[in-house]
Amino acid sequence: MKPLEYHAPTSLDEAISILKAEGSQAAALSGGTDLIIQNRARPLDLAHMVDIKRIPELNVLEYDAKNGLRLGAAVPCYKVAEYEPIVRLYPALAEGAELIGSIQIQSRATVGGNICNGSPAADTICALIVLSAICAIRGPDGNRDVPAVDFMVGPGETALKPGEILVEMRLPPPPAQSSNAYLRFIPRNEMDIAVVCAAANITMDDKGVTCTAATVAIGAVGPTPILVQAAGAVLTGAKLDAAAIAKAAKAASAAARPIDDHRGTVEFRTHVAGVLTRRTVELAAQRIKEDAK
Amino acid sequence: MAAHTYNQVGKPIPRIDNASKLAGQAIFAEDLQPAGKMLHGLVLRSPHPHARIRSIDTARAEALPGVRAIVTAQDLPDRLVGRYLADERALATDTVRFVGDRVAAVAADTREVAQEALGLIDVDYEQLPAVMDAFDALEDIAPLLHPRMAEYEVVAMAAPAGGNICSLNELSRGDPEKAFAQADRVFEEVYTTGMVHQAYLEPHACLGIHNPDGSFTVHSSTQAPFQLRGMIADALAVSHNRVRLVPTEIGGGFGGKISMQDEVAALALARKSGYPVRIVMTRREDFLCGTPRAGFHIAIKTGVSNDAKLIARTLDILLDGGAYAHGGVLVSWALPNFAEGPYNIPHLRITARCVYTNKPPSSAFRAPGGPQVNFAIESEMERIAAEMGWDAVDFRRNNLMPDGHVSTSGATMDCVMAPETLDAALALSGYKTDQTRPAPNRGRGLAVGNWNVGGMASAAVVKLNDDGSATLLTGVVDLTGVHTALAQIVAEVLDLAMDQVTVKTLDTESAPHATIAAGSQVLKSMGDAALRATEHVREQLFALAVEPLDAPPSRMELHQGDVRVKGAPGRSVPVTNLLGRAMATSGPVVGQGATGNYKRMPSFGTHVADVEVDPDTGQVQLTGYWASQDVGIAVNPVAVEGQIHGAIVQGIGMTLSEEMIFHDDRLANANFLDYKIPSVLDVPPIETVLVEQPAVDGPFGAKGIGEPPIVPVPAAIANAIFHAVGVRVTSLPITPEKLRKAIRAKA
Ligand SMILES: Cc1cc2nc3c(=O)[nH]c(=O)nc-3n(C[C@H](O)[C@H](O)[C@H](O)COP(=O)(O)OP(=O)(O)OC[C@H]3O[C@@H](n4cnc5c(N)ncnc54)[C@H](O)[C@@H]3O)c2cc1C
Repeated sequence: MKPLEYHAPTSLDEAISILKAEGSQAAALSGGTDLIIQNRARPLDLAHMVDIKRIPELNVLEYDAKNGLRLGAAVPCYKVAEYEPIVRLYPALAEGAELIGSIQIQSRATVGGNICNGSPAADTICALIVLSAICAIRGPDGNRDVPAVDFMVGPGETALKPGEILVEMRLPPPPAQSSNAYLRFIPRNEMDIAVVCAAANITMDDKGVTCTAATVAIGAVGPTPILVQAAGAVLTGAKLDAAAIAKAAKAASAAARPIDDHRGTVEFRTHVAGVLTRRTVELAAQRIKEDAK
Repeated sequence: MAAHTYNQVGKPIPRIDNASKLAGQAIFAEDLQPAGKMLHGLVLRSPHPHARIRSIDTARAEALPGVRAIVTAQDLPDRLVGRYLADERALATDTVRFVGDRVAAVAADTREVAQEALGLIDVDYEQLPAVMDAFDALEDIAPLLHPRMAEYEVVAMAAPAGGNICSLNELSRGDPEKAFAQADRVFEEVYTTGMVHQAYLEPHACLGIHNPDGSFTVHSSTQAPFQLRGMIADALAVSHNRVRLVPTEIGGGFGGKISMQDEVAALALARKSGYPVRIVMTRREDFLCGTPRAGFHIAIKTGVSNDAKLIARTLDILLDGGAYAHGGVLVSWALPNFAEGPYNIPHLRITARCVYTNKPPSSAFRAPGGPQVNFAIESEMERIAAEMGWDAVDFRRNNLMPDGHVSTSGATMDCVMAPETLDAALALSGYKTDQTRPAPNRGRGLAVGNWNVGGMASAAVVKLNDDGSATLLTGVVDLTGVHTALAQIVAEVLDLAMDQVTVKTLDTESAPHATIAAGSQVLKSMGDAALRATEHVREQLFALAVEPLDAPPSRMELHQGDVRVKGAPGRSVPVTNLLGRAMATSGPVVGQGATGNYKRMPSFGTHVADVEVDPDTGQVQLTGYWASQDVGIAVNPVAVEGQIHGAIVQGIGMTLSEEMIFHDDRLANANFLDYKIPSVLDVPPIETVLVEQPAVDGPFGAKGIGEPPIVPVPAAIANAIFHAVGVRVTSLPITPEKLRKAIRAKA
């Protein structure tokens, strides 16, 4: 094992220049709850860890009704799960952040690290997708934006290019009469990796009868999380009755492309993708009703 | 319940080792740091489930700077060792039989160098076909793991039966076949259980030292210092006194720390390098090389009569013994003795076969064999009652074994408390026999468990210090808090306060022989030895007091530091005075006590579980749990309750989520992410009731309690699931996936 050098830059430019200079020998360190373990278990052969938690731009957490939410990549999950505007308006994201590991893990782990790790089972990615999050990236060549749905490109692979840092995620303000939800299936009650997960974001008409927009995403059932367009399509314009929701669930199962492993079979994961889709849609619809009261 | 008037016994006294553990001062094997240089050892383990070793070339590894010694079988005497069947080597010679089998070991200045050196040892393997399933291992065409089994020395209990069967054990009574023919109904079913790891907090670790006089010292995290010393000495071909085994604090064992692991490798490295060598397993190594609970395949056949009587039963049990005959053989031997369950069945045959497979050797795990067999028995009781239209509680009550029952082995069962625990659990949980489902997908299940607790020969020494305080010297390690109970016994007899008693665990050189810390037997055997040693001390004090008190010993008692004449409070003499007299005459007061092996005694418990099932995903939530347990007299009720809670949690694990999964002949989940022990959120509120009735020959009427409470857990939960959703999954663990499949198949 090589000696490891720890850097703690306080500016984005500094961080990017170290990452660029050291190439594959360096990695950004956020909470380290993925990185440190991976480096120990099967040494990644890292020589440099660039701690990004002291960079101000990565610690932004603010919401306003006009611009929506700005979530810095290095904000720890416990803050995300507690932040009042997130709990109220983006409950799916709070639910994802709250499920990551345990209280101890959540005080280190970040949403940025969760998605940069590139796992299709990551607990915040489905929420970010259905909430139409934009990932703001900065690198040696400047800034660019990537929609959350395009952020993961393969197991452990993201849209980030060498030297690039995820700065923040921007979530548009939610429309009136909308809500969202996230659920995951694990065989026990905590400290586990999703066998299947799903998020839904629903908008209803003024009367709360017809669904005017719907987005569904499922995770851990393919090399990357899947935006289930067919599910959104069957719900949009429909009354959210059992039949419509069942169709959406079916669409989610049809879209799932899971593998067989010791955590679950193809058959089971495909089925549970449908179950969770149904439940997140119902939960989101329920929340809209409750908000209307 | 007997009314007791004890000062210490029966009191919920906190563990005497709490402070040192909470302060992080307790020394575990991984903490050991001998004065002077110490090397870090690592073991090269087979990457193949079954292979012949053509050659081992250590030259490249030896050339690595920082490497101090490398050992292979060539550095050890040509010896097969084993506790029951001598079928194993400390380091492999020509064959490896599971992924993890020890091939060679390296000692280096740092763990990193040792790790690098492992990669430089060139082993030429010729892969052999592997057999990963106990059933497949019985086939004629199955690869033989131990072609020379017939030549192996049977050390104890093993009954090798050819092929891959390393032990075949059978007991019967009556004529089951005839009785089946006469029964009103016959039920048959097959139940299977997974291989489960003890999942203790502390992986195996040891420190080996080669002493200047050529003898060996080994520190090890073990439950069985004397047994292990014997095995190590045998493997090194030295007499037992030449190996000093120092047991360390132990971070959990549950039966998984009885077998030999890397101790001989550490000692061989120490001898070759001239330095102490410490070997600490990683979690992954511990999963690969630990000695888990055997997976069972149980074919159960039951004949009943229309008046709800069990008439006949056969149990044909196949145990997945893994690559070597460790405790799997003991389990196979013990099964015919307890697998009759808590019932009296006139015609019975129990057959157990322990079969070699290319998996880690299975061994003891908290009531080895108990929960597996009870899962079959108590699932069947419920199923049969449902199919016959009987009340399942009445059906059980109708057939429970009576006190004085003669077991399959011919032993008379004393202190049978089966009906009492059944009643206690019904009362505690408010169980109604005409139970209706409380809500859709919710259910409640019950199981009665039996287990035989025993005791093995042990001796202890109690010495009085000059102020009358006492020290108990013992060779047994504290796995469960039992040292606190031993201290309570000493304090009780001498009427001392708890802080006037010290319990000291000594190594095998200094301590008299002690039982292993397993089998629910420490309190019984070491407790009795300690009791006798303390009584011996008291006897000596009373003899010293005859003259000053002018009374016979039979009229004396100890009271807060004095020996006094019963009923005559004025007539007393301080113990310190007596000790002063002793120094001038007979010498220091030292007591010794010993006990032989005990006949095993039955122990019972009835558990009730409430569950809620998610029918869409098959996920089971436990919503309540009640346990009644037959404990004799609880010397320390909090410790007893702790054992019950812990056993239930482990039982929940093996019932719902824990299983060592083998894919492509390799363990796929050698870590705590994928080997799923219950988390605290998976454990429901647990209520317990101790059913107290003094056991005939335990110290202060105590019975062993460590193992029995795991026995009924799987069946209680499985029965609750059946009650909730009307389906029965007959293989453990009942994963969401299996349960959902069963629910769907029914719909
Ligand atoms: C006990 C335990 C339980 C866990 N439970 C869960 C769980 O329930 N659900 C779940 O989804 N995950 C879980 N995890 C995994 C992990 O905690 C999460 O994925 C977490 O969100 C990672 O965040 P982090 O800040 O610790 O990332 P880090 O480990 O710091 O980083 C992860 C990866 O992303 C890169 N990276 C981080 N930030 C940036 C950035 N801003 N720009 C570019 N690259 C970046 C790093 O270089 C690294 O490759 C668990 C981990 C542990 C140890």
